[in-house]
Amino acid sequence: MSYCVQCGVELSKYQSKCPLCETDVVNPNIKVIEANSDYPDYKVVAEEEKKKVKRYVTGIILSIQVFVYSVIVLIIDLLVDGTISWSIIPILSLTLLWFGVAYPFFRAKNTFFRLFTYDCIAVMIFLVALNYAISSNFIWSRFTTVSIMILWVIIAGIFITDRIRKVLPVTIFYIVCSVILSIAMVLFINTTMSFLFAALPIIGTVFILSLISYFIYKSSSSGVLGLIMMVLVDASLLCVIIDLSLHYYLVASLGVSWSILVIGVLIPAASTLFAIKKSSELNTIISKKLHR
Amino acid sequence: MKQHKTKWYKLDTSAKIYPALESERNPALFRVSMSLKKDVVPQVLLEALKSIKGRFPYYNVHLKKGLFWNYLEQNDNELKIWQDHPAPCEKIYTVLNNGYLYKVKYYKKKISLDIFHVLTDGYGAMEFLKTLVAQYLFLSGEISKVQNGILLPDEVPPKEEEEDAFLKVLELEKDNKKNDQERTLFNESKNYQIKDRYLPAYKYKIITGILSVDEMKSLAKKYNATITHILAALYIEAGIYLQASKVKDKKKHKSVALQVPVNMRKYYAYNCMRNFTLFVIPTIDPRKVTCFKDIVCQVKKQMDEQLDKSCLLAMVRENCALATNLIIKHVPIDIKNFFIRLINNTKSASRFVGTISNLGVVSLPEQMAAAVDEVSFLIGKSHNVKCSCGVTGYNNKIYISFGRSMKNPHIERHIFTSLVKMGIKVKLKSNY
Repeated sequence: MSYCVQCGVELSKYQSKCPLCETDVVNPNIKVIEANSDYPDYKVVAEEEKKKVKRYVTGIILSIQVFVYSVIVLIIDLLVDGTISWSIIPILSLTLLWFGVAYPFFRAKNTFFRLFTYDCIAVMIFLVALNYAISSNFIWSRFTTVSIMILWVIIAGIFITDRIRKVLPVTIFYIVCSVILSIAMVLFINTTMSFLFAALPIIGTVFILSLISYFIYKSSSSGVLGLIMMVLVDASLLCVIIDLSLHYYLVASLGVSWSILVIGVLIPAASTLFAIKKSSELNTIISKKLHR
Repeated sequence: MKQHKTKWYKLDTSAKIYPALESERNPALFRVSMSLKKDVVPQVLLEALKSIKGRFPYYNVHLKKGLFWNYLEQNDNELKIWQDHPAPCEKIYTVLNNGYLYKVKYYKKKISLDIFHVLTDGYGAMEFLKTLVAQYLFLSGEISKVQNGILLPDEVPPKEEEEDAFLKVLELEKDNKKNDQERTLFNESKNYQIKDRYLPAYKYKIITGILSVDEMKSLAKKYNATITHILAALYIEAGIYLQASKVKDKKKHKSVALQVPVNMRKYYAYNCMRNFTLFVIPTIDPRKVTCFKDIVCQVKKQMDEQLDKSCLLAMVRENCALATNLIIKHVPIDIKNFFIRLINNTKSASRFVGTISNLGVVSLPEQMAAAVDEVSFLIGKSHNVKCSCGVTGYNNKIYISFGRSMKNPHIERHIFTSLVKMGIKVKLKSNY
């Protein structure tokens, strides 16, 4: 048996170091250290010598290249025209290129989503700057900017759903983004404020219905039938709100038209499902789920 | 159509918070183990587990979510056993475990039970393990029959075992005047907390010290205390020394508090197999003690005071107050979980230097004892409590198992080296 000379404790046969003070065990009577008989060992993974990719140096080299090309373009512009004119466009392009290719080398951790977000921001700025450089206004770049924002929201939602895997945060994310995009469309695309008054009730209804449906679904294990029932009822309510909002936006008065047809189909379908589902077993399920 | 005749159970009062707190760094589980004298045969172990399933229906459950609280529902899926992991007490992913909230693991001669705290406490887990090992030994022919002192696999579990004992105590003591001592779960005073680097989430370092019961008893007698008092005092002393080494200005030294779970079955004779433990929290101000003896005296005094019946009753009432509060009962569970996590991370659990839980002496029938070499108890990792200690006694030995999720073994080193200096022989086992 071995003892730690520092701590005075007896050590097990499989210990080559004292677990308290990490003093090496030196016992000439023990030739071979046994395998741990109490806990399995971590698999010995041969530590590969990580090839230190000199990311920072690669980033510097690429940055220098972009800088040199920009300078060349600028010099040619100055030599030919005497002023800075057409060179702005290639310089902007080279800046975008730098952001997309060289900048990631300066960051230690790059995930796809992070790179995607940076690239979206870079492209938006590039298009706005390009619009201004060419036309001295922001006419067409507003549309491209809002389009890129919509694209980002959709992709971000996919990533968030994959990460969080919970309905509520994802719903809140989409609702907030919808509100922001609606405001952005009013501001950038010069739509009237009435657009906002049409969009916000629809967004609000989606949010409230999502919350209510989420809690109802989680609180009752009605299974697939219950879920379908809820979707049908939600769709009916949403159609009514959309119909009302659009009617008000277009005709400046409240009224329903096509949504009556939708309700006429969906509500009877939901009722049918309800009748099928209704049984005494539901009482047991509800008592489990709603117990306090 | 699905038959909804599956049995279901409400979570007991203590268990209600664990689903909210569970995470990879805080899996809210613990381990009880037995080392046999022969290598474990996995097929026989699985057969043994299947044969005792009916005896413990309240452990063979899924965890389901309700609108206001979680609940447990009978689980009829296939049982599994697992090879042990280098870092015990890893989080149980129920998706991979067929919905079960415990794992039976084996490695060479050791059978371990990692169990989620939602199901039970150390006492219940040990009874389950005893039955499992007894059945395993019976099926492998090492014992002739499952003997007295072990729950029989064939018997029908009494209703008492699945009930919430806290509510029964409340019912029993409802006529008692409420002149209980004031105690709050949410300690307002700021106590010392160990600051050290965390290990990666997949690592959990275990050191088990094996000591002689007789030597410990004589040491405890010298200080006129119990073994639990001595170990708790050593733990607190380790915290005091650690604080002194990190914080040079004595005026800035904070009190050192320790969480000590207490088995309420000693005070209320309910044969409950769910959670039925409460915590006492001895707290020592380092400026008011000069030597180890002072710490032992203070720990003993505080633990005796807190284990007084009126204080225990106050703890039970407080424990149940949140779960029986009319407003809290009707708050949706997601909102409740948010606040439970918030309170746990800010006020309650972050005020201890550690936890020490003594399961006491584990006694086995003679035939079984001949086949079982060691019994140990390990508390799982916790994000707030970086080092915890589980203690059991078996076959005239004490097994003190430390589990830590921080880099350095400050507490273990102090405790074991102090015991060696006091003349106690200590043998160590570890997973690294």
